[in-house]
Amino acid sequence: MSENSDLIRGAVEEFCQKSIVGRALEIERQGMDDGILRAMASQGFLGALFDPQYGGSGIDRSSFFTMLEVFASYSPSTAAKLLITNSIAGPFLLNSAREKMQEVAQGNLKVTCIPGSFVSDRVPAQRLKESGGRIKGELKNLPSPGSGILIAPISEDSAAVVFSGIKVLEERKPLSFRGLGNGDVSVDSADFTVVDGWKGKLLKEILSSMDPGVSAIALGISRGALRKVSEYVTVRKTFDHSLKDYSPVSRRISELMSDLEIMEFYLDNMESIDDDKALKLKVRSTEFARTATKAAIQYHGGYGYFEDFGVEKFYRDSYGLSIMMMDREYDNLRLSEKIFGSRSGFL
Amino acid sequence: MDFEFSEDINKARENARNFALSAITPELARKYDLEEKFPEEVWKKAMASRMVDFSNPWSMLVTIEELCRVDPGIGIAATVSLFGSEVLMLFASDQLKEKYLKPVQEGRAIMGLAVTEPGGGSDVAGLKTEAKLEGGKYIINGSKMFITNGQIADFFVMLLRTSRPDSKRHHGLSVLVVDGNLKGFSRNKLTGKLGVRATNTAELILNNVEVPSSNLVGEEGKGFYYIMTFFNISRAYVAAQSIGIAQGAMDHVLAYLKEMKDSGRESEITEDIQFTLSDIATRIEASRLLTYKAASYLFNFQPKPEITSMAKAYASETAVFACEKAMEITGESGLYGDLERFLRDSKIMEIWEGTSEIEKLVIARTFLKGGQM
Repeated sequence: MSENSDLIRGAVEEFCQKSIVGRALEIERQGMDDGILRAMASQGFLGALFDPQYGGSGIDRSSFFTMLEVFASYSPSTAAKLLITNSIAGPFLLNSAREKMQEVAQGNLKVTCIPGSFVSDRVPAQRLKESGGRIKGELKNLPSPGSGILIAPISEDSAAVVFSGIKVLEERKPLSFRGLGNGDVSVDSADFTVVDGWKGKLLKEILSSMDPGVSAIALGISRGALRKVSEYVTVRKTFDHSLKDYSPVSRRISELMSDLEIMEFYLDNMESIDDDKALKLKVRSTEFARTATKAAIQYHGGYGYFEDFGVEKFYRDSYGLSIMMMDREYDNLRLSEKIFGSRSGFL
Repeated sequence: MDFEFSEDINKARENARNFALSAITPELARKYDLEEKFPEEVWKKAMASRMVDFSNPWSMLVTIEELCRVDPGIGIAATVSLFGSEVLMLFASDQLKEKYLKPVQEGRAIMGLAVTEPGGGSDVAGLKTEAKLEGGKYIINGSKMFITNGQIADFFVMLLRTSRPDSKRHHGLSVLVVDGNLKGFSRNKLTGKLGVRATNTAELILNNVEVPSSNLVGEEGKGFYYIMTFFNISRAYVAAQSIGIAQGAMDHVLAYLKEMKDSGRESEITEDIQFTLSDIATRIEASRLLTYKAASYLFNFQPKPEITSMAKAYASETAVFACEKAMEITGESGLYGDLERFLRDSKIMEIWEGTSEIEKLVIARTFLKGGQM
């Protein structure tokens, strides 16, 4: 881990203790309000990867992943917001609307997209249409729906960055990342720019940040859930003994903690490992997050089933992470390409 | 060995399936899940249809399966108004049965079973809520936690400590029927559940609540035995809920794959997906066989707790497994559709009516004590 990462970990921990921990349940129930967003912005977290000349903090990638992990361990929604803003919106804005980046980094202008549309070279399921100098259409299940900037595909290899004319049609309570909100929007705008050929260099750039970024959130989710359950099994007694004193409980949690720490070590050294290894960590860590969070609920018994205990959100978010933020089939193809030299597994 | 049900049980399954498909629409399921509200209208319809009848346990088992297959939250809510009724059926006096059991069987009242306490759970014998006998009345003080129907039940079958334990902790426990409208009895609805949000859950607070001694079920001091007998039955029903959930998740997967096929994407149904589907189907079938075997012993009054525990543990883990795999296969369609509700609902199966860990201890200890397969 770099010295910067250590400093960042300390700063983010301090920020989360002060501004997130006490509001984590409120974020789940009501979403992230502007106050939280601006507080994150004021510390430079919102535009963490943006170049300082565009209002960002320009921190190194390793520190960014550390930051995501810490945020995710308290509130995965906040980490998801940071990942979308920095790893998808950032590269697009740099290519299309640099003048808007400062406002985004300051939390005065929101930016959103369907992350799954920008993490593979497969044809995105939802697109907007460009016609007669306008961008039109509807998008379903958009995280953080609302006014601001919307980035959406308009053809197989082009995307539009839309600055106005976005109307929320319906909002709903999703399974995962409830702090972001979720809803359908309609778009009718003449205020946009088009980014052509994004599946080349831009996709590579997005993936080089999204792969470890998703891993960081997966490990943060796991860390948050295992921290909670470790505390709980220490204080909770059943049949006159602490839960931790029962061998299946202590062994299982110890195994999960060991796996987590091995993967965290890998993540901490992300700066020195290549994209292939980052992909492998993503596939492994997202699966691990589902396992660890399920165990955390189980050992909490009935209490784990209630949102007040702050454990069930990690389980829910572990699913959203591996469905919303990545394309598992595409990643499997990439993995087989790395291992066999060709995209195998699809006959 | 005959693996087929009799015609009347098959008919009960068919009726339940038809009822579920017509009465539990996806819109209704979403509404009650979102509002975290008991679906009174569906419950009343289910009771009026006479399909909720715990005196016909095989019929009840397949009915629970079919209702939970369409929506676990409403499916459970529609059948849980008699929760704990077996305790009365098996151990209560005729007077108590007439007064309390009849109205719930006729759909005029709702009952609940109150065992778990704050800080308690698996350790049933460690409960602390006391009932002291004074002048022909029991005076109850304490609280109960995570009680299904807690806020809406007319009365509760409640496990209480009536005398100090001797060398065995489970001694000194008794079952009383406690009306929900008594002075000193208050309830707090518990909200923010991960799933089964159409079911009502509450904390019960009892502050000097007076209950007539005639409300004692069976004999004083035998409460632990009565409740364990009940759990042995209710665990088979939880296994049925779990099978329904797993089957429902598989229905969602099959509908999704059919849509892929119909839209010319058949080649995307990889062998990997087919293997997963096969695993789900096999586990559901194994859960059914185990559950029906456990039920067969139970309903013939020859219970084998270790088989019931195997059924409950395996079926509940199958429910979670099926939902998790279904989410993987269906991706965004599952995440933003009705399947995600099944995932949330499924997790409680491994926790309530005996966690998987408790079931595994029951199984292991049976064989350590010399039990045979």
